[in-house]
Amino acid sequence: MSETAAQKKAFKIETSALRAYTMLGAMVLIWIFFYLQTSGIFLSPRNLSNLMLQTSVTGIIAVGMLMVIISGNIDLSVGSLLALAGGVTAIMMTNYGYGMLPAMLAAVAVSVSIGLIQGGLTAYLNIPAFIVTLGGLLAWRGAIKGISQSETIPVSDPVFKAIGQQYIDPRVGWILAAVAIGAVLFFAFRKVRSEKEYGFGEANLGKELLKSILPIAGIVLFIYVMNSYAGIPIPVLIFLAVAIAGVFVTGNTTFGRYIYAIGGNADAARLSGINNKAVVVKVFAILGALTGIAALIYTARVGSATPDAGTLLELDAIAACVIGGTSLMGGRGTVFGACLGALIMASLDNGMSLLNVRDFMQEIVKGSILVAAVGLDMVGKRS
Amino acid sequence: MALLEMRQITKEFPGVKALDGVTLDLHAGEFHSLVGENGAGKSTLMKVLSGVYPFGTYTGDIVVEDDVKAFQTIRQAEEAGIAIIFQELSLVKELTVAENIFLGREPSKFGVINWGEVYQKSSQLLKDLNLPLNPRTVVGNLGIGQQQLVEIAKALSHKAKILVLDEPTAALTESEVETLFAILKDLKSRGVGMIYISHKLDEVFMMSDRITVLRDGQTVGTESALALDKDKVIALMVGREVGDIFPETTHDFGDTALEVKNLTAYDPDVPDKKLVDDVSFSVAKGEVLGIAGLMGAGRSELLMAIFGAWKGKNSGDIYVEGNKAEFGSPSDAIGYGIGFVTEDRKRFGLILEQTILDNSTLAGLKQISGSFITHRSRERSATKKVMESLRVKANSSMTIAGTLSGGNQQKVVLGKWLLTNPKVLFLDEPTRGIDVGAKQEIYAEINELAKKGLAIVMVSSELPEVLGLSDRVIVLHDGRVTGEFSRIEATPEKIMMAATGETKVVV
Amino acid sequence: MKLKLFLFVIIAVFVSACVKAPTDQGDPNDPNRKIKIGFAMDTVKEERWQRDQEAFKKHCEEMKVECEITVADNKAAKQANDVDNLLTKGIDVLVIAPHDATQAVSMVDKAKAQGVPVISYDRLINSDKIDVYVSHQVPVIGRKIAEYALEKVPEGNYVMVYGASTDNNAVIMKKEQLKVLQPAVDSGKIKIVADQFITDWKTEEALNMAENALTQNKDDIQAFVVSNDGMAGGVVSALEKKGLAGKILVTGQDAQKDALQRIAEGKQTMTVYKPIIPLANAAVEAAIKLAKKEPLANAEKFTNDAISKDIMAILLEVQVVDINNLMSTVIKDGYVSYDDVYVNVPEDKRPPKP
Repeated sequence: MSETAAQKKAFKIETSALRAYTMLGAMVLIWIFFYLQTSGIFLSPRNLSNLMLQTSVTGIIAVGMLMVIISGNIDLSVGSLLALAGGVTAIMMTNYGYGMLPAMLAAVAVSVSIGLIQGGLTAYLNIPAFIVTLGGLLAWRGAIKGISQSETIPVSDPVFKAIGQQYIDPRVGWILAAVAIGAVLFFAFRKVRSEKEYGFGEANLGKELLKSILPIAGIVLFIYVMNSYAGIPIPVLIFLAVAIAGVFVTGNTTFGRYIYAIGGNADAARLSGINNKAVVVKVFAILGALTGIAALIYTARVGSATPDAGTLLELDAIAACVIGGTSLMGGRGTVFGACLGALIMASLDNGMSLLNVRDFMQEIVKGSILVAAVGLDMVGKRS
Repeated sequence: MALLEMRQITKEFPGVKALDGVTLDLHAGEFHSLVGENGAGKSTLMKVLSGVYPFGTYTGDIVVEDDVKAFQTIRQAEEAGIAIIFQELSLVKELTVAENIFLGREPSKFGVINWGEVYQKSSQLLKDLNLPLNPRTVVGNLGIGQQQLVEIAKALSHKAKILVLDEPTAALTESEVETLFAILKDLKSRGVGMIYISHKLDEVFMMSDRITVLRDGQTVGTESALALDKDKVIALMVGREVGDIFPETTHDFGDTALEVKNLTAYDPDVPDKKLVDDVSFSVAKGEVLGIAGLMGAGRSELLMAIFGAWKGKNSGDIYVEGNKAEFGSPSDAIGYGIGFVTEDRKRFGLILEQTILDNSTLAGLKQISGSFITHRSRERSATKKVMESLRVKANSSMTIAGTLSGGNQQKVVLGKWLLTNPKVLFLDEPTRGIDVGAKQEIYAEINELAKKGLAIVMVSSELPEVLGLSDRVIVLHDGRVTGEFSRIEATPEKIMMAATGETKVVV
Repeated sequence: MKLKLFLFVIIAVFVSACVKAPTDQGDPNDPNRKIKIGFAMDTVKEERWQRDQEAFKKHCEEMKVECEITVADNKAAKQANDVDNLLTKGIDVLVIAPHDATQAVSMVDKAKAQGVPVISYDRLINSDKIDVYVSHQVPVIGRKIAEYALEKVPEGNYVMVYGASTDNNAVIMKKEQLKVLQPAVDSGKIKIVADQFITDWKTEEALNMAENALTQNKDDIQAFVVSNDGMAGGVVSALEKKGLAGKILVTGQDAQKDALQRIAEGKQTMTVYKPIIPLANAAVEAAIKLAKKEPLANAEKFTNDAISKDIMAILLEVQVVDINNLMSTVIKDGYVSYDDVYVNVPEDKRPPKP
């Protein structure tokens, strides 16, 4: 019996790892295709900088959306919420003359409160998240139309706009790189030390250091590319911070484990002493907070708040998660995958825009890629 | 002429031979039991027979009435007169008995169903089979036992000549089992050949003409039931002689660990209905308290209510080591040192798609890892220890729980609760659907834990288990305590009397 | 169960209290009855459409006719329902600002079948059955934008940012713009280095497209010919980030407040001002005439490729607005206030306040 189980298990691990690499491979292919088609412009530092910038808003929301989906829920209201939060900031600054900080705090506060409300309705009143947030999709869009009287509200504060439009100094970029590399090494050492402490195999420092080479190379390459143009765009920096925090929360905290547990088997989680309801509310609040942050970037980047900002953004975020291997049934998915999904979507937009592909064709291609990605997953599982 | 012959059936999965030259034959009107440990290949063999694994994915011949068959689909197997009733019932709970019987084969004209015919034919069928069922009852309102009968009616409506029953009595009460057996005997007299898969050897011996034992995908032997006894069968199954599977031990009791007073729990959907009615009991450190009773007597509900996991209204007082405690939620109960190995591990116990490690540390995560940041190495070391002490058979702690055998899954659930360092451990049906070897290991572990001073409360539907392990047994009927027996007083007869509510015996 | 029912009733009562009860239909044969105009709008998300809505309502009041306005939230299906509802309410004339030029054809057919005359407002419906098309001279808008650009930037690289490909106006504008630019393209004086229809006229998509176009051409772009102000806002953001705002020509259309501010600051070069009030007034007046079955004196013949026959149209003048004539056009008309337009311009750099 145990032989059968072992066989099955080895097989399963293999396919799921394969799947993560498939998506990375697919992205590399997409990049190479665009690189050749645009005579190199696609992979120029400047375009990569733009590409990251164009990924950041969807990416930040995808990180929060991922947690909601893993917990077995869904949030359809983020696009409308983004418009509302952006509108709140712009109206406070432009129409009522508030400073930048209170306006930004208000936007995030509004988004977090809405997240709490939607999470509360889902968890405590057992209304399906699909319904609660479908209501939100309509209601928050209505709210922003109401409070903005459907007008486009320009934002002129240059400091605020910098959030969306400025780059950080290349020197600061290298300092951040140094900090990041330090962190990678620190965690490698820590792992070796704790493995020694708990007596697992040989404490293999060499192996861990070898494993650190790839991330370190990635960091150096990333900063180098960004600095070859103008430095890291501020939205990208925020996106990276959110992504790293997301990886940490989902992978290294009790809270993160609880999210997976609830999505995997809510009854088993509850009977293991997890407060499912509280976790679900928190997950929605986190997505709210991230939507608020994304709204600030979006508004700063565009330079104004429009009531129709972020339409269909929720679907982009969900698509990013799904392309990255997240199961809509809950319990399965990674932050890395979701970010990869967002990057793939943005790469398609960016590359096709560079190639001047007509709008209808862009939509067809994006739709096909989404279905193909999930199809690949299913075929991979069956074989 | 044999009704059915399966010759040299071999079925391989990637890297493993699930069936290796298995041979089985069945005569008309024969009751043929198929036994073996979990994973021995019984279910695989039946899936080959029923066309779940189509012709070509296995080697060997399936011969029905001297006709070699090559089933591509379940439909074709059905048409050849083979019907299988699987462990998990495949009825649509929202539909009526008659609708289920004719599901997919509704008598219809131009796509319009002739309901009159559906109900007339099904009531005729039920009458023929002496099944006490109303065709218009919604299946979801029936008990598990009656649902089983609907499955049988459905199978026989196909004019099945060969009926395969996979663990049909696992969820049935004694009286339901009796009804079922009466019907099976009736079918036998009509010439239906039956293949019966079960872990319950008493039933196997009560009914069988012949018994075939499978081990590791091979036929170990086919013998007349008269030529075998239980010990011989078990020996054939495990390939070794087994002594008494309940190790004789005496437990030393300490102080009272948990006391429950006047616990009452109401049905969450029917707020006036009491599922647990004024139950009081206590359990001491080092004691194993068995809770017996029939299905629906309120045993699991009692444990759920104590554990703070009951969704309906409940009342009563709980004392842990003499101090009054309030359990508003499972996490409160865990905080007081209560652990709960729930029934139905796939539904309540495990997250099947996650690893052994993730499952093992879930309940005790904050104790093992720290309250916010998890500590992987600590978790690994804790999981490794508990896997070793419970002898979980798996490659590593990173094995996906869903790929384990039933016994190993059960050990993982047990391990999860041991990692919370409980003082009191609730066990709800701890050995359901697992093989004899694993059962024995779990029994030994229960005794070991009691010796270490844990108070253990065990709900079980298997009387031998309750009698073999418990220092004391309380019996529930209709939510109330109808009997309490010490180890010496307890006999199967007394417990069954109390469980059926025949008489109230308190000693 | 009872509690649920109770809650449901409470909510139902609450909701119906919030929604204004429909007014009585009145007897259609009553000669003293007020004329009732139905106006099926597509959107009021953009500020300009709100101006349409306000102006339309106001002029109806002035002319002492009833009006019923619906908004379809950018959805063709909702607009079809809106039209059904308006017809049910017994309107005398139907004015449609269509979401989709083709899908609206069936709405026209339905109204005509009930004997209700139809006015196609601002955007053209591809149906020869409409009674009159009231709009600005859309082809003229496209032409004016292109001519303006060509005059200011006679040579160089052009990027064309068109509106939604589902919007007839966007298609017409593209055609007219290219008609003007084609000779210069052929002679090699200008080069169109990128052109794109932008889904739903979205600001952010225009921003991304501008960024990508700048990357593709290493900033060597002299003009962005943008079809409306919302998208121009996105393009200007992309330029600002590169420090190019004000150095590259950016066109627009609609004279939105934020666009006028950008023009005052010098970041956007021009926009097209389509006086909304005259448009709404013309539509209301035409509707009244149609209801009374009087001839439309000011209508002229209009030809469009999408429609087989000539139709009647009332087309109003449009005006180019740039930094030089802000004061004499939009501000003078009272369309926007001086303070609103110059809010971001230091006091000493503003023109004198009127």
